[in-house]
Amino acid sequence: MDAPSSIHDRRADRLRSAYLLLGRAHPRGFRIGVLRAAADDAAEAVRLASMRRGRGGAWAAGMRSLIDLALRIPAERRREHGSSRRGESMGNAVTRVRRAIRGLARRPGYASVAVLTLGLGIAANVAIFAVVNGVLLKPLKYPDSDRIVEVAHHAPGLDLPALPQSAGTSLMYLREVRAFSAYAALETQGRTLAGDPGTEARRLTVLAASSGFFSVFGVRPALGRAFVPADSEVGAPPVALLGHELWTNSYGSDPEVVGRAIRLDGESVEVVGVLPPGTRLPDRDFDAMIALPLDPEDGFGSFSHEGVARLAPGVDLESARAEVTALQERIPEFFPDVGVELLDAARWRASVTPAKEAVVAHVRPTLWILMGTVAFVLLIAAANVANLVLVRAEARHRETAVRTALGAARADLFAGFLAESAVLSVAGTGVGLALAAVTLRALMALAPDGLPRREAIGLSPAVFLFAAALAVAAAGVFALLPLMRSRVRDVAGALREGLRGGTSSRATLRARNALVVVQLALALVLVAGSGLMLRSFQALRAVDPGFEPEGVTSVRVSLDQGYVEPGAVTRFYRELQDRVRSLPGVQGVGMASEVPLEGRGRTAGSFEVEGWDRPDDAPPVVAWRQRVTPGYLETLGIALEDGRLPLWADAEDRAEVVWVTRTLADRYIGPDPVGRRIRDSDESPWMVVAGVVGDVAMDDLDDEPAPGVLRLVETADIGQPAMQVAVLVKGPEPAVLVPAMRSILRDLDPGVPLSITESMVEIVARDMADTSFTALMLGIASLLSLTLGAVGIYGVISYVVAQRTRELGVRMALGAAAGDVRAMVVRQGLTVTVVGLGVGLVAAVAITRVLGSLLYEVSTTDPLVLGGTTLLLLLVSLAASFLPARRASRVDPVEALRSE
Amino acid sequence: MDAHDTPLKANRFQVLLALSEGPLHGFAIREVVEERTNGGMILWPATLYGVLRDLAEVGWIAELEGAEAPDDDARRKYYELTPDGRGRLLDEARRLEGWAAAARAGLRPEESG
Repeated sequence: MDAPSSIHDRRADRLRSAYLLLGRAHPRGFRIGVLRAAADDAAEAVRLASMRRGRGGAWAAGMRSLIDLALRIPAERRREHGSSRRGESMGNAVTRVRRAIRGLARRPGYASVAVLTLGLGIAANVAIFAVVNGVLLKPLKYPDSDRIVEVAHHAPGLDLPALPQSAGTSLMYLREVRAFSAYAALETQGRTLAGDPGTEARRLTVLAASSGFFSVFGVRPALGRAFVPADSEVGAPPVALLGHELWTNSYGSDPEVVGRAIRLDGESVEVVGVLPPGTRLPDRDFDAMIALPLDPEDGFGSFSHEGVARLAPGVDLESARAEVTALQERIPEFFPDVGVELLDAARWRASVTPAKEAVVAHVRPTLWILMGTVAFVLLIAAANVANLVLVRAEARHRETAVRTALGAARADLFAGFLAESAVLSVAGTGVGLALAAVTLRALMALAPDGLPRREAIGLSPAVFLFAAALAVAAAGVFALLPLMRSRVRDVAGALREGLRGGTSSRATLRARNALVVVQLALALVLVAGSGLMLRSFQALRAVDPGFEPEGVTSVRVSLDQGYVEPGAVTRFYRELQDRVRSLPGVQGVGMASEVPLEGRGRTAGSFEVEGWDRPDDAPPVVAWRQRVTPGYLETLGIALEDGRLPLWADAEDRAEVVWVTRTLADRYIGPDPVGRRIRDSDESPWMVVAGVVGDVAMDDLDDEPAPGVLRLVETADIGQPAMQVAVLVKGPEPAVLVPAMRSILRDLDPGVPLSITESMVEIVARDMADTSFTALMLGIASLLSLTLGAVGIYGVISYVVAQRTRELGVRMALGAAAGDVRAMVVRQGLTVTVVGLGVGLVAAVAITRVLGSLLYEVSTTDPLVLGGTTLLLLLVSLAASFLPARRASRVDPVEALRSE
Repeated sequence: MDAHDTPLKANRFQVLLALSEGPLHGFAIREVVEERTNGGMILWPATLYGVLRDLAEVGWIAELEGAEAPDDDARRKYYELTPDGRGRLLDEARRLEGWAAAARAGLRPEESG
């Protein structure tokens, strides 16, 4: 424990240095009379404490001494300045602030422009930060939410983005992974809740989950019991938990509901409990929960649900990843039908991602780019305010000089400026927060549906802290600026200048020109960025989705388990389609299991073409699949490029015919695809290609066209018929269509609910929402920065002109033409502009790279955008220089010379 | 600075009291006070030397010249109580005694001018 004495000496010495440094804040009398002796004693105290109680003791004694020294400052200042004028000391902050407010009130124009400019910048920053904080920074609202992870698979070799879990893989993780204290399989489904007689059936969002859900998310039922592993076993009686809202709204918060049976999709399900209020998944809400069956017989099976897990205590993410990755090697031993070759060919791997990351990763780049954008706006606003402050400092230059000559300490001058800046910054931040609240509401209204965690966005304490930090930073910077101006050596010059009109000092002009250069450069980067986003947006709008969305409404209907006999589904759909077709104004009707760009996930599967001799180890090829009715292609205007259209006869005969997309035909079948045969796998029957349709954007407008297979809603040997379809109707407005369809459905089968109704135009707009939102935000930011930049340039140029009035008058008296004077002034503006734009162009090329991932078919160095932006800013600065130039050319020589 | 009839600030009283037994240097004053108050009052350096400066200004204590310093440590400044300071300390002690007696008797003493 006994350290060498040098340690104690070093600690004492360090404290002495800190003590003397802090002592500088004391007035001179204290520094001369007391500080050194006190520092020696403090060092001695630390040395003794260090010897007696080690590092902690030394630290405590040192801190106590320093705190004591700091607390003495106000009293010592009062003591020293007790006889001097009121408000001349640092201690008198209130007086200073009062004086600053009075001073600003005398110049309402200056004050309000500064406050508003700053307020705009701060509002933009606070609003975007509120979004960033809510979406990216706040932890998810579950106990120890950072321990929750998502488990997924990736098979780039199969051309699939991500594969979730199958019953087989979920059971494997449940049993094998030690790094998880709990694992849950989850799948969101749509289910129809049969109403009581006389009420309409309701469509619910139901979360099918295994029993691990409750441990993973730390949820305990408000009533009844949670699921147990036995609930997921094959043949277990179906059980459900009601969401709190559903229980309140549909069951009157009746506790007796536990133990009762409800009907979901025609199946009787026992309610075993009620969830607490606010239970949701990180990225979605649900109305009720049912137990997800996990059948060990399914083998590797079909990948249909998500896997989430909670890390076991003491296990970090890396070791969980390592364990899950190692487990992939053993897949063939769990699933004998899955060969190593297949896994290799598919480039199979598993991923373990923190749950928050899994939810927000896709919006992270966009949000940080927006945050950077508004930071630029704030910098431009701050440059404007700094410019104003410099003008003001110029005006007070003489006052400052006089006070310096009279012996005011620089610290006192600084305190004066600080008070004024603090008042400006606090007022600006107040305005900014008020504007931010409004802005945030507008943002939330405009934000794309894909923005996760909207519920977490708001003006939280962290956001206020952020605003306060901005205010403090601004106040400090603005206070320092005028001080740079008030060098003591300027005193004589300032006093002389003060007797005349005074010309701006070179240093100030340089500083102000530099500010304008910075503003222009920043503005150019922003405007270029928003130009690029706009170009992307345009390019996206120009993409041909392969269908015509105009005038088409999509209405979802779902059948329950009652339609079991062969042909029943087809009959129902045909009847429904015929009745809808006869409604007034309907130009076309068709149905499809999946709607292009709807973003509700899609079905995909492997297929093979007759006559292929594919090597065994080649990965299977995959196509998206869709089930349609006759009329679908015509209603959406999808091109039939070869072969014939689907007919009801095909559906009623349940014929084995399919339609393939152009990409599938070209890539895998070759010339003359019609009449060739394809099938899903060795076990499924061959189906004849009856036609080739144009490529349709199923997932995203900016995706490459993918191979797709269209089948009729019901076919003889291929699994279940499509029990849920979107009815696509071209013609009538949704407001007219939906009630009419409701009454048709009531006639046909009251148990079939209508759910989501959307127009295809909305669906396409939603797919572009991320791009259009980013483009809009960047557009607003650029407009702000352009305006602020123009104001900045205008301010500087007109200031210079005002300063040179006398000189210009002399020039004109000596015969200079008004035009020459104008040109000279504009030239001055242009010089600054050209430098600013040059810097901006270099910065733009460097900075717009971060937009790369958000851009579509436009390069970050797009000459049109960069050229156009430069030209635009050039015009703006010309316009901003023109007004002062005109004023300059109207200077009356006599007037100007009178002051000489 | 306070007059003789107003209460003496606690830390000044303690410093005068510490010096009443003989000259001390700053660090020793702090230790004496800390000991006497059972750790209830610790005079950290900035406060202590501020008090010493103030007391010296009104002439209640005085700095010893180097030659008279009792310790071998020439760097240290020693302070001693002046006759004025001793008088002030006694006044304060009597005043406090009066209050203490009154408290014991359970009533306030009559204010005497």
